[in-house]
This record gives sequence, C-alpha cells and structure tokens, in this order.
Amino acid sequence: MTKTKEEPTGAKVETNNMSNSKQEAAASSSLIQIKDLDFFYGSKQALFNINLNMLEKEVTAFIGPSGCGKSTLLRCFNRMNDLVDIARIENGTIHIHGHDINSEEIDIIELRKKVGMVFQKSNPFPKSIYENIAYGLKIQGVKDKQILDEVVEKCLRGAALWEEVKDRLNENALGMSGGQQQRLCIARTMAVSPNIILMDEPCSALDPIATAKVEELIHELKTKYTIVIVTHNMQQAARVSDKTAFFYMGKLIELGKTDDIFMNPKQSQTEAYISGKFG
Amino acid sequence: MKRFFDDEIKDLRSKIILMGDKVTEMTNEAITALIEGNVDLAKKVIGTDDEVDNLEVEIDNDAVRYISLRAPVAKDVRIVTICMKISNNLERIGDEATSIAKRVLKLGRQKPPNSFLELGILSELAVKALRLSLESYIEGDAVLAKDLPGQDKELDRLHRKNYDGFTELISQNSEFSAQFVELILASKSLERIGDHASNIAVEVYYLLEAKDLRHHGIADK
Repeated sequence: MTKTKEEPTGAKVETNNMSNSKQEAAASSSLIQIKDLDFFYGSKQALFNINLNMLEKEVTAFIGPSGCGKSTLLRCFNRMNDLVDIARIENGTIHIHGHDINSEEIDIIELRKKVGMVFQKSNPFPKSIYENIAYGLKIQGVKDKQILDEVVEKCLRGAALWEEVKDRLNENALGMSGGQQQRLCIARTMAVSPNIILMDEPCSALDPIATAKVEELIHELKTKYTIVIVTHNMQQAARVSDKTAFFYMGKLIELGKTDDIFMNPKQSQTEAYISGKFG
Repeated sequence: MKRFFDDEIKDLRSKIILMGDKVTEMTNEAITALIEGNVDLAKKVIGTDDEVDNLEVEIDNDAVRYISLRAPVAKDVRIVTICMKISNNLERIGDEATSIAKRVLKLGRQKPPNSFLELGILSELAVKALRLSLESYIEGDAVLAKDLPGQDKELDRLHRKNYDGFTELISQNSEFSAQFVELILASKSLERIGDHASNIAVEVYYLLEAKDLRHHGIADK
C-alpha cells in the first residue's frame, strides 16, 4: 500500500505491487495512515521514514528482531510514547480515521478510548473481574447497573471468557490464570468501544493452550476491530494476521499479505528473518 | 479445541475426495471406451484431464500455504504432506486414463480379432484397487491400506500375460500389429493405475500409523 521507494541504504521497501493510483485509493480508504514518519529517542533515531497504511477490520502483524522499532511504532498509534520524555516524532504524520493524531486538537483520552491496547504482560486491576470491565465505563460516568451488567457480559463473551468466569464475577481478577487475565485485559479494552486494538506481544507470557485461545479470539475480533499485533512468534503472525510488516533497524523492510510474506517474501532480509537464518 | 484454521484441513481432504471421484470416473469411462470402441467417451475422458491437473495444483498450493502459515506438527503435518502425495498419484492415474482414451482414438472403431485377452479382468482389478485405496483414505482404514499393496502382484501378472499374448498375436496377425501395440500400452496403463493405487494405500498407512511401508518398509529396518 505504501510507495515502493529507495531507502537510504539502497534497499527497496517492498510493499504490495500496486499502481500509484491503487496505492492512493488504498491510502484514502485506510483506517491508519502513516506517512514519512521519523521517530527519535533523544538523539537516537528509532524509526526511519515509515510509510504504512492499514485497512479497517484487518489484522496487521509487526515482526522483526528486538530493537527494530515495531513496538515504538505501535505505541505511536495511541500516543503512548508521549509518556517517554525523550521520545519525539521529528517528521511525518499518523492519521487515524483521517485525523492527524499528533495535532494539538486531539484529545488523548478520547484517542486512547478508540485505540485500545493490550500489553505483553497482563495487567488487570487488583479488583473484581466485574470491576475490571466496568471500571472504564464508570469513570466515564456510566452508573446504570443494567447497562454495566450488559457491557460486562458482552465484553466477557466477546473475549471468550464468559463461560469460564460467569459464576465468579466478584472474585479478584488477580486469581485468574495468566491466559484468562490476558483475555480479561482484551475484554476490558473492548468495554470502551474502541475501533482499533493494539497488541504488544500479547501471548509471550502464555502457555500454548492460552495462546491458542487468544489467537482464536483475535480471529473473531477482526470482524469488529482493526488489530495491530507485535509479535516475536513468527508462526503466530502467520496464523492470525492478514498483512505482515517486517521491520529491521527502524526501517520497514517489507509489507505485504501474510500469505506472500511467509510463502514468497520479496526481500532477502525478510526471508532470512522468517526462516531463522538472520545474522 | 477447534482451531479457526481446522477448516483448511477439511477443505484439503474434500479436494482429495473430489479428485479421487474424478479419476475413478475417468478410469471407468476410459475402460468402457476401450472395450466398446466409444470415441466420444474417450474424448470426454481426455477433456476431464485438465480438471484433475488443476486440482493437483490447487491441492499443492493449499498444502504449501498450510505448512508455511500454520506450522503443522505430528499428524497434522502427515495429513498435509500426504495430501500432496496422494494428489500426485491421482493426477498420474488421470494421465493413465487419458492415455487409454488416446489409444481408443488411435484404434478408432476398428477392433482387432481376439483383441482383449486379460484386459477385462485387469481393468476390474485396477478399478477395484483404486476404489479400495480411496476407501482406506476416506474411512481411515489402516488394515485395508496395509493389505492393498500386496494385491498389486496379480495386476502385474495379468499385464505380463497381456504383453506376451499381444506380442504373440502381432506375430500371427501382422496387419493388426499397430492395434495390438495400442492394447499393450493400454494394458500397461491399467497396470500403472494399480501401482498408483498401491502408492496411495502406502501413503494412507503412513498417515494413519506413522509407519513407512515404501520399498518393503526399508525406513523401519
């Protein structure tokens, strides 16, 4: 979707084989549009001239070795990097639903409602399972118990957790298994009706069974949400995503349909990385 | 726990069964065309070969995609790799049926005297072997899959008998030599169909039992 262009190193950023007019059409219909993005931590540049568009209700996986910038880019989408003093976007723009999310008019709280995030380590509040889901709505001023009950059930069902916890909603969420806690965090994200869910290594601390449940959940969630997932697990990227973006040393090396990336990548660096021959 | 990509394995299996149905029909029709000198039916068989070729390509692509994206292990990896091998054997059976059909076009409606020797019984056994190999796959019948390759010797014997018989007929009726050569080649195709059916059964046994029967079980020695 982004332009095929020469990188400073001479390497081509291989994206889809689209004509310019198709690329422009795709960009205009994209939910997330990143254009010419340069990102720095202090004097160290972490992202170089990133151009990337993501369509609605698609799962995009970011893969690449540690330090390649994939989590940094993910955290740009809900301005989580604002919490890091030395972090700054030097050039470029990120538009979500056509709005420049780094403009002064943007309400960060509203942005983070629409762009939810699930972290590497599950981080439920030390409250009941029910309160974990209801909390976001309560601080928005929703007090109607019936509405809260409905949302809690809907989100727990949506996160494939309802049947497991419906009889112990008042128990402390910290007593749940790791896999259940992570799905609770996904349910909690869903409670404030986001459009986009960002997942930063959501399964890295989970066993294979809990991982399979989260992957199953991602597959179901994409009918309603746009999902961006950062993962070190190549098989996971291959299983759950529609598009895959490979990053290396802050550069987007290749973006394409997941089928193409894993069956016939265009770039030798991508092939080396996904087949474990990197370095 | 059902996984969201389990249906992809079901689709692969469905395509193998569809391909099996098509080559069985092709084989039956090629034999009928040969026995009856039915040129139209032979043309129909030849026309179906592309469909079978396309299915083989489709199954290979699906299987490679599954291996690349789903990282299968244990029985799943056998299911997928065996699909590729079975489809390859089915495609070859389709080729043999097409080859028989092409003999029919060459023979035309002119039948040589005493022409069929053991072709009838060889045809029956070839079709039976194909049917049983597919049945072992569809039903997951390891006993059937293990027994089938042993029955191939009878097809080999009948083809040898046909070869000797037709060669003898050529020496006695040289004006029909071209037709008898076509029948020797048709007999060879039927014998090869039996070989491919045996190969399928061997692959099915590996799928079900993870034991390799190829080359008299050389892998386990």
